[in-house]
Amino acid sequence: MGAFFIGRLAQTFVALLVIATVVFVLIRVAGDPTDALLPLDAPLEDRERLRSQLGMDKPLYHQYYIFLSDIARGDFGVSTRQRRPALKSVLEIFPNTLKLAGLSMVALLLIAVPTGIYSALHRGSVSDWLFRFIALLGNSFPSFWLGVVLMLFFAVWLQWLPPGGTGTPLHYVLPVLTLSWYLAGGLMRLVRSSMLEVLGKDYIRTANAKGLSQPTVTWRHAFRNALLPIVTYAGVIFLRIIAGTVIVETVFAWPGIGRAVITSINWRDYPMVQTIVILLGAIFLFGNLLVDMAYYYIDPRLRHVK
Amino acid sequence: MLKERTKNALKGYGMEYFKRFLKKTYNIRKFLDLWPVIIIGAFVLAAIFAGIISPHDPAKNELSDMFLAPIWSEDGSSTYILGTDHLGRDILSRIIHGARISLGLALITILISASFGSFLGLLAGFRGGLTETIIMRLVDIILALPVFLIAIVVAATLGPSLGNVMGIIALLLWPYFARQLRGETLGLRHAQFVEAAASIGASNTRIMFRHILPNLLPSIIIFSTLQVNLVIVIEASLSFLGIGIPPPASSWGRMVSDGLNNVYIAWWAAAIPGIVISIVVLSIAFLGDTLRDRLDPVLRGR
Repeated sequence: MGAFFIGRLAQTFVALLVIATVVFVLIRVAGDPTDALLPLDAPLEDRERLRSQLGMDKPLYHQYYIFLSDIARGDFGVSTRQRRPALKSVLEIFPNTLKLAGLSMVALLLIAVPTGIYSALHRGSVSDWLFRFIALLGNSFPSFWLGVVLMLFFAVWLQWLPPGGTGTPLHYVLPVLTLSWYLAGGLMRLVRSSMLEVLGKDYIRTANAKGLSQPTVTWRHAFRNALLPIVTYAGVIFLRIIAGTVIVETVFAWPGIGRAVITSINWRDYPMVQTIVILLGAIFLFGNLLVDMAYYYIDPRLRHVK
Repeated sequence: MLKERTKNALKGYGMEYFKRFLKKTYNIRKFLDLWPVIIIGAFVLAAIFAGIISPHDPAKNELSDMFLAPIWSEDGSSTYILGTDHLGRDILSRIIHGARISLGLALITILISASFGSFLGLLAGFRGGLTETIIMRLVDIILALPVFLIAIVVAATLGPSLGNVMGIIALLLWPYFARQLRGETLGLRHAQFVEAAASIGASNTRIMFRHILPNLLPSIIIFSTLQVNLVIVIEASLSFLGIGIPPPASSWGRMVSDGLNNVYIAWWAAAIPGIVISIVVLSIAFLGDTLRDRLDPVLRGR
């Protein structure tokens, strides 16, 4: 366990370093920040002063060192548009994204687990086929298009729901539905296949032979054993939901960090961009680490494989 | 139990009978396997002959003709079959030219990342040792990155261009091929035909490319097909966010986002390109499944 954990932890930090480095390089490749911050006719001295203020006059390796140590201390720079610490404004809107992601996760579990179990228990039935088709639809549409379709249908045509923004609980419906439908297909298929696998096991036949009632066999014997891959995959899904918020927040004008990254890019507000990317990257990487560890912890068989 | 018994007794009647009837008359499975091929084939032909078959110039603004409805609606125009967008451009022509971008981009990026990734995977699986460690560490790191987030930042900072989009996607895609191919090479590494080739003095390079690679080709093809959708979706999503293929070229994702700005006036400008994306993505997903069943019985059911 120890060696495995240390190896994965080291790998996570390397990946995080890669993300930070990519951000560092990209922002320097993207062009002279003084062009974006100063008027076109600004005198040369002003440009020089701003450059040294930003630390751009130092050699590149020194800049890289400063960049990394600032990040390590939690200093992500000052948002050029909002003129205040980027981390502060990001953390201010982060709860919006978390609310959206959390609700989507709950909705996704409520959709995928029951339909997956039902499909497994009624394999080959019309509803099994229907559930799998709906899951496939959600899965193969790009998330932005799924969002647009739902918006066209419920907001433009039927006019039941607001097309975007926040405020009332109704505003949650479309973004949550988009995110959860988009990702529910994968989990539903997993629930179905792992239930089917367990249902074929000898101990299920034994339980049936003992004359246990159908609900007892399904829930106490089959579902509990099928749960293992589902729990770990749910972690992966949550990370995908977080990544998916970038698109869905843009489609539905949701004031979270996913939309903020796109607007900051358009405003060339690079401190904001780097804060959000590194924050999301860290969540993603440490989330992956947690999922791996959970897997390792839950399934004792894995400990002997590697 | 009773239900089971009733079901068994009814076998050969009702739905079952209907299914058998369908099978006899139309050979429904064959048709189900064939339709994705027909649809994708049509799009490929449209992409190749885009210049000849598109009825209008896809980039030409005809401001007097903006927001014309498609032909099937009451006030639809007959010159623009699928209607026009906010600049009076013909949607059908833009879709045809968009096929060229989507499919062409997918083809090229998949070719690059498949050959690069497969080669490294083959090398890692065959050589083992330090080579394998280095390649697989790199693969692990890239696979751990949030793909789409990185793509967004790269596209946004380096500016939108076809080359950038292609480069990013290829860079993020090759590790999938490497991981898949390494696993399969490991499985073949000690197969009898490999040992036989080695015993008659074949060089390592020869064994890798003449003996192992041909056995991996089916799974490379299947895997590539499944990745085509990923490329199409990433390109469409980047273009939707306005950081993909730059404007004069027509990209389906861009068409959806442009159409969305005027969705209350002209729903078709957003809906039609979106429907096209769905059709293509669904067809390719089905084609991938069919190919898997046909080409590689070992992978079946995975």
